[in-house]
Amino acid sequence: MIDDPVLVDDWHVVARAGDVGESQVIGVRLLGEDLAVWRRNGRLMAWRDLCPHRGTRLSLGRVGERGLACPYHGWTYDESGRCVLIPSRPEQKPPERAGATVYRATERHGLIWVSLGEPRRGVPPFEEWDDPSFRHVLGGPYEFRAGAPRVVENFLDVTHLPFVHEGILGDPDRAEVGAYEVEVTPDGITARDIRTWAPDPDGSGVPGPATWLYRVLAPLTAYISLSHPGRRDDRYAMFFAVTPVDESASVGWMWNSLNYNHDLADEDFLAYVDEIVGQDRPIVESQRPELLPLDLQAELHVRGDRTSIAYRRWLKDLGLTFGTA
Amino acid sequence: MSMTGPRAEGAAPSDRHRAEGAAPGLCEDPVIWNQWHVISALDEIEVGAVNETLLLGARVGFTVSGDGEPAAWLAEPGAPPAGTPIGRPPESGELPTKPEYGYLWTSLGAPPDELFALPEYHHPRRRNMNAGSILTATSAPRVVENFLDLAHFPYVHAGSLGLEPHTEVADYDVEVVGGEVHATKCDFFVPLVGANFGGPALTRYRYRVPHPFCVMLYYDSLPDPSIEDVVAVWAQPMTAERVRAHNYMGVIDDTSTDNEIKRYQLLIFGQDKPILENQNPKRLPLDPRAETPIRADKSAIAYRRWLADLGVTYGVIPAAA
Repeated sequence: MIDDPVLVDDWHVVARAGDVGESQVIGVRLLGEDLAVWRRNGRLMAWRDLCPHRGTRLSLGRVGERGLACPYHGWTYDESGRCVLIPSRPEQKPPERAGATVYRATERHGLIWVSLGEPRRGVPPFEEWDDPSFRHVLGGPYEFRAGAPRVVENFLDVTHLPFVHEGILGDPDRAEVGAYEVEVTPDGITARDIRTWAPDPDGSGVPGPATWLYRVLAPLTAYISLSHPGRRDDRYAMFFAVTPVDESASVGWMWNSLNYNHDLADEDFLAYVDEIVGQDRPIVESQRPELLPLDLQAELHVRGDRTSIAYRRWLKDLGLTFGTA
Repeated sequence: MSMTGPRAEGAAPSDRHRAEGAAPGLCEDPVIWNQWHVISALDEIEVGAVNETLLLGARVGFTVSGDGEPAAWLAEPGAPPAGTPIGRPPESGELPTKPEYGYLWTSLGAPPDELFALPEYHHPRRRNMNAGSILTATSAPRVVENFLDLAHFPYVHAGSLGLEPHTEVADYDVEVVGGEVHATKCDFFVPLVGANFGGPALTRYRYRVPHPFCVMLYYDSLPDPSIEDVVAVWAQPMTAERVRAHNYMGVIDDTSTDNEIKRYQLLIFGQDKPILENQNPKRLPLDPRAETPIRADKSAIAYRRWLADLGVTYGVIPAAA
């Protein structure tokens, strides 16, 4: 396991809720730790993907009446991780030390979240998830061969929009970003009232001025709310959680939630989002150093980078070391 | 059998023989270094041409001449690739060879005079065959230990070597005899012992580990219970965490075709392979407290202790001193 207390004690997405059905088990990887994630009687479990008997992956096993059974010798573990059956010695009480390593797992916002440590906060909030006027389309899982902090910072970056996403989220001839305020608290970052011009900021194909609100909700979870001057109630919210698979691999999960433009088919909306992320991926994967420099002298910054600067400072204050330098 | 000794003079491989991608450094374990190791089934060697494989991290070339004379050598960087016709082996880097039991064996060090005994091989009724050599991403000791294991049959080989709810492993005997690990009176409910067996039967197995990376299984043959069938896996340590598992079979069977016999063994090993490749760690832990030992694993416990007593360090995680 990657030893970064800030991330070990945080919640991370490892799968969509539907990826683990009742009595199913899957294998995932988080912070260099292989995990078996399984569900029984509606309860979710996330364990180290290792049977203590012979080091076999429990995610290759199956969920039965008494719990999760190892694929190799059928050693069976109940929801608490205790071994309850050794089939080669069915009468023998399994030894105390025959137990799975158990982590915390929960389901929120249609996603499965795992913490490898002692989370000090809950799963980051996503208000639109519970608002029935919004519909939600999940982009991803998007795989990046890059460290998670670089992926999150790219999501927070305003000034790349006209260049990386020319013709969609920006126009190089109208690249200027107006001054905006950034508020930093121990719980996160909010950057309000960022005004740009965008050819197609929401997949509808309608160009116009766009107003963005950015939030950092957790070290690797961020949020954007897009609104349009003169259209008070129309909002497009993006909730973006990045899984730190290991030092150089990340997976992004992005809820795209709209309370307007319901004529746009889900698959067309998703294709729009996929195209944008597909433009970001080679940029993020090309960045050197791969580790995000938290020393602000290490890279050049301009006024439009205020959110990135705040993000780097905030990570440094938290004491995050993973994926940073 | 001599288990220790200095590295051989002369043909000592160095880092230049190390295969690309192999872990840095060659095998540092004199016990393993000085063993005979299987490198190919004889019937798969391309005659009069360069054959190549990997042994203990070193590139090894080998061939067999038109009159059946085998040769093996350390492959120099830039040596002709496999398939190149070769009149006689290179003069430098020659390695000892021993064609035995249908396979070619070699050593990077100073091997003992004899390979382990397998007198059953020479029985006139026996059908000796190469049932496939399977590249497997794990250590040789993990392969041997899996082969010794009865308790996985109902799970990994459901319907062939085992079937739920017949999961219990009764007590059996394990001892070290003449420098080998022997497990005897291993009784298990087996749906289909071999290709020529009919229905389920309570079967008695015995096992022999005569070499750190070689293991044999014996059971009464169906046509003549006074003779035993032999099934073996001889693991070629390509690196500490990669093997070719050579499946040897010597059975008394007057009804099955070669392909039927081989196919059964390949089916079995094909079921073991994904289990073996997903074990963590890949090297076998020798600490007696590692990996929750229980009574049904008596042969594994004895095998691990035997490896530790021999001083094997290659392909294992030695117990802390």
